[in-house]
Amino acid sequence: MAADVVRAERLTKRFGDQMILTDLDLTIGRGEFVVLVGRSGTGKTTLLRIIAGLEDGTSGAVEVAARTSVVFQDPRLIAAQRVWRNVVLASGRGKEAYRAARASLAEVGLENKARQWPKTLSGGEAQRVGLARALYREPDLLLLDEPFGALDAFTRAQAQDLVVRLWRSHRPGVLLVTHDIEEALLLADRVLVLGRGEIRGDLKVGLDRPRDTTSEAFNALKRQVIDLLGT
Amino acid sequence: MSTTAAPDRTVPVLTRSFAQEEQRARARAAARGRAVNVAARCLVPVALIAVWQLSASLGWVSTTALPSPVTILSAYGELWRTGDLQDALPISLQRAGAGLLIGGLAGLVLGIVAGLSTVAERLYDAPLQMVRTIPFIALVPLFIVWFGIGEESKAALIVGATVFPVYLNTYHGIRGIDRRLLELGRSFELSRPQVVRLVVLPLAMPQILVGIRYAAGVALLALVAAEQINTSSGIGYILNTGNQNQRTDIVIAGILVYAVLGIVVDVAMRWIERALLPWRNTHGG
Repeated sequence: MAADVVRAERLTKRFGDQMILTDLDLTIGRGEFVVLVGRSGTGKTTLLRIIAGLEDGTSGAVEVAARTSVVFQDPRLIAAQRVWRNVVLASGRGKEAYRAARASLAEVGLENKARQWPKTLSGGEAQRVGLARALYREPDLLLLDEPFGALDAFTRAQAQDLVVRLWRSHRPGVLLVTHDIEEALLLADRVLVLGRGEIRGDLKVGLDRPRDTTSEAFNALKRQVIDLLGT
Repeated sequence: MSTTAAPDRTVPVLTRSFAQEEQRARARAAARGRAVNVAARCLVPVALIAVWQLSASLGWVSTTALPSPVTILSAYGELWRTGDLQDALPISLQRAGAGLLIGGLAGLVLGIVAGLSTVAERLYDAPLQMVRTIPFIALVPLFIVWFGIGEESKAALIVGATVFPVYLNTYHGIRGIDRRLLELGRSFELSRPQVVRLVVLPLAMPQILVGIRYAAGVALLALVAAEQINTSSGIGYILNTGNQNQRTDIVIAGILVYAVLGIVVDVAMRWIERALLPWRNTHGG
């Protein structure tokens, strides 16, 4: 595993008679920001969960970077542990771990919340703690499952900026799953369009960041994705 | 003309002022209210004790059936002077405490394993639930046959009574944890013991403590039942000898010791809960 952080070959997932993913091939290179976009129920999350090792495929194979972190749609913080403990989990104890956790929290602008309980955080803050927890492990692959889905529009825009900034400084390969076409085009190097268990399109987004959602090029890409999503 | 003018009517309003002076006045009023509350709570018990004392002093009831509060107080004095109370209390506490410790630990371990493993749950949850429905006091004669009339049968009774509350609450506490949080273990490559230490036990702790609190109460109950079995020491011994000597004052004094123990255990458990669950009080509650 030198050049790629994900390599899926002829990956198939079936639930009973229902085909979720059909003979899917997918490669994500080191440091590449890939966004997987699709309608609800097209198997986006299933694909991410298989890559994360939370589910098994029915046939085919996946190869995934050993250091992989996941950020879920819900923050999944342990209410009974302080914020910094949620970041550290089992990797380390004591002052050293606390300092490292604070450094990770500082990157998401929450270092002064380190000793608080998760219940006291807002939705956006909790999600940022989830990001800090993922990055604390210096992953080669960062998986994001609709991480901004539950946030209000303003908080979401801030969180999107934050993810791009963190990706730039840490350079993990990223696979982000969303149903928001604009979000996909704002963030990705490459947008994959998933429909009925197959990858229908693989678009390079060559625009400079930060991107202008009103530009001609942006909207041309948007129309292309909409066409690919089809029915 | 009149359509543009506002109707000349006053609107009812409620004014809430946040001036310092008024806030202080509100706080004073609240403090007065609390004082009245405490007084109201104390009224009935104090009146009952007064009536009790009065009825004994005026000879309304036989003092051998119901000795007066003053007589009971002097019974404590007697028990203290002879050293009986100081001897009995540690022994009874030790019985209840040891039983609670062993039974509670067994319940905790069984509950954790059943909560995490479907195989274990299938294996022993149903039998435990069946045994649980037997009132433990009904087992006293059987335990005497099995374990004799010494400390063993007393310990067995208290252990048996305390296992189930802790087991049930631990099991349900763990089953109630959001499955998505257990998945964290897999996403962040935590071992089973790490998941138990970081996720399962802390999140199930509120429910586990409910079980322990309940078990502590049951331990005292079982203690009373156990100390009826041929005791030569403990609070139960004081009760029995008092009974044999027709010293109702000593019997009541012993009963009240059990009651005080119950209150002390409850207060201690509340204190432990507050200390162990700081994360639950973060909403100002």
